Amino acid sequence: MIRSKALWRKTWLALWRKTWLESRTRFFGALAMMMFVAGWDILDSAHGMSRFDRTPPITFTQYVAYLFQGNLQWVWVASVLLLGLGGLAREDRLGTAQFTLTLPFRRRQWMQVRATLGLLQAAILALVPVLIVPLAARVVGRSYPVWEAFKFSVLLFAAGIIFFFGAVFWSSFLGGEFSAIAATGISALFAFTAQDYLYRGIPSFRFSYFNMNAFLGGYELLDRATGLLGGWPWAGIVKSLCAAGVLFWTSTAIVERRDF
Amino acid sequence: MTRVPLYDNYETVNLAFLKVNPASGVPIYLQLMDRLRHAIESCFLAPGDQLPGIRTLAQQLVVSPNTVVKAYTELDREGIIELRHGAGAFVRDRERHRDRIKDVRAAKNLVKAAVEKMRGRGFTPDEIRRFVDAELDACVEEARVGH
Amino acid sequence: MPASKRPELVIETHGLSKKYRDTFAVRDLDLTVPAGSISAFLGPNGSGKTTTIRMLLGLAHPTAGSGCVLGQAISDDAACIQIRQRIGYVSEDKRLYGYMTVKQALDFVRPLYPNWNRDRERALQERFDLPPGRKCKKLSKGMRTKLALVLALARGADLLIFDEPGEGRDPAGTEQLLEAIVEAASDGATVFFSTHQISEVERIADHVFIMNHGRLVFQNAMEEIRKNYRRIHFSFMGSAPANQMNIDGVESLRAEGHVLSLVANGNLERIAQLGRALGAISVATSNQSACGKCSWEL
Repeated sequence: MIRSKALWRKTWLALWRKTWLESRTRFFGALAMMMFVAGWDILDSAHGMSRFDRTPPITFTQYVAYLFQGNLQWVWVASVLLLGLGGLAREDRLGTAQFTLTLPFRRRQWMQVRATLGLLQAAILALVPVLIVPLAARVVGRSYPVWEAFKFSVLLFAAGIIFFFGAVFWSSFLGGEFSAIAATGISALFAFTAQDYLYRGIPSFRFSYFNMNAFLGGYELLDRATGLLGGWPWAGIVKSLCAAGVLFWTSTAIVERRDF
Repeated sequence: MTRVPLYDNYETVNLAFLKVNPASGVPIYLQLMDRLRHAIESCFLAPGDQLPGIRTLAQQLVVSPNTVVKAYTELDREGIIELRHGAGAFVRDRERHRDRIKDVRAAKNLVKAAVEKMRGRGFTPDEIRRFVDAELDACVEEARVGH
Repeated sequence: MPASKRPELVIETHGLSKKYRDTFAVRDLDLTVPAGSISAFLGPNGSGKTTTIRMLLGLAHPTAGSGCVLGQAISDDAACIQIRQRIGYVSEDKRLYGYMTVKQALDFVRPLYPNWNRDRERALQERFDLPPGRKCKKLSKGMRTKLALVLALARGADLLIFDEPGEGRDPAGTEQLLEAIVEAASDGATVFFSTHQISEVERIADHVFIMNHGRLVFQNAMEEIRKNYRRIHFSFMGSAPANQMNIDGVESLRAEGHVLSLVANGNLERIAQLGRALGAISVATSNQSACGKCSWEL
């Protein structure tokens, strides 16, 4: 392709600019949500912890681990689903796809920028607890190691991007405003239920590799006593990334073949 | 793909007299030629005057530039105007080229008379055209064979 | 796919087809659009015009056949970009990103086209009087069309494709649109616009292409149509003898009771004679509305 460097740079910049403008509101909304949930749960920890009735009483670290496996996980998944919305099928419904697709880009370039920006935004969202949790802990007179929060964040990100690309996949042909979220939600629910059933049905087989819920929260590696993560679930991370890759590749193929 | 070099005009001319009627059955370029011929013959446009640029005229009349090009080209062929490459279209000096205009008009009248006569005899336009083509081909053949 | 061997054609298709399930939206289309001309693409709604344009632009994939735009095959995805850098397109919907303002939309599109003409952009902006700070979702349909025109015409494109540009416009708006098209053509661009408003076509089109039921049913130069086509109306005593009137030179005919109407391309005298011989009590010829003659009843 004969193109000057400057033009090449300008066109990519334009793509990024447009994708950013489109996702801006959703990103900031998700950011606010993450910050709120993380902050509130920590600030309210005294009350939260008091609900646990057991001996020995739950430690702060254990409680935070519980949060990561609960609220924080769900708000993270919700945020990431939100980020995965949009795309060309949506534009088709809105009527602007014909304009966008007659600009001098390839369809896969659009997809690549959307995916990359989405991942960057997801990374930022995943790092919110790293910032908020230790700070909020300090406010209520507790302490929580930043490194630990970071480990959880990395896990959230690596495991959670499969939801992002799930939303990207569904939104590659569903143009409704929230259809992609609904579809991803339903398919995720289906996946969880199916694996849960299988897990219970065949207890000898270790399905926890596929158990997203547990995986996301690092269930396997959690040291019950201290509430700290013992290591990195490399196998799970690789599988998650592979699945995300497959979803992205499929989404691009769908978008390229579609008629607008 | 090359772009066609077009002439440009620097003055604004009142072109209302050139208004054409797209709804009539007459091709627009012929209407335009009529109006321009009339303007030149009635001295509205004097010899040596520059005609409006193709672009300007097309935009003013809101007709295709190709139509204007065709009209100008035909008028140039008739000897009424002169297309100077890069400079524009100019009304020919009638004194110098009066003979040419006369000749063109005479030739046209000849053709008109002949065609009318043949049609009077019942020949269709296609047949007449074939006669003319055959005659012209013969001329070309003659010239080639060599005189 | 080999690129077009004839560079004087900006659009060239061979057997282009688009099939949905059992019906053909476009069937066996052989289109040739010469460079530097203004071409009109006529046809009733649903005749396949928009589908054709979408295929030419790479928005939809043909089910059969091939096409070349500006010398590049439309099936070649990578080449599509090179085509699009030299094309301006105004869709029927003319919708733009709601969240962008007019100024943002222009700023977004401008750097993508190396031939962008800043002076033309400013002139058009002034003429159309577009408010730069207004969000696109708040623009009226007329303003949307104007913005779409600015975005397409300031590109310095070699080929401009308009799909129903005059949709729902007042006469003054139509005039502005035609002026803009003529201006672009004066710059050397080829214009290809689809419409069902015949009045737009007559004035500025050099070539006419008519589609019906997915097929190209008619194509000719505008001047030829104007010169040669006539509509003739016959009134008969009894019912009109449609079968006997279909002779050489008759493009199409329609019989309703006593009245026979036909569109003729030449051979006018014989047709009139035949009509009288078959008992026509009145003959009326009209050469009004050249294109109306052709697109009607095709």
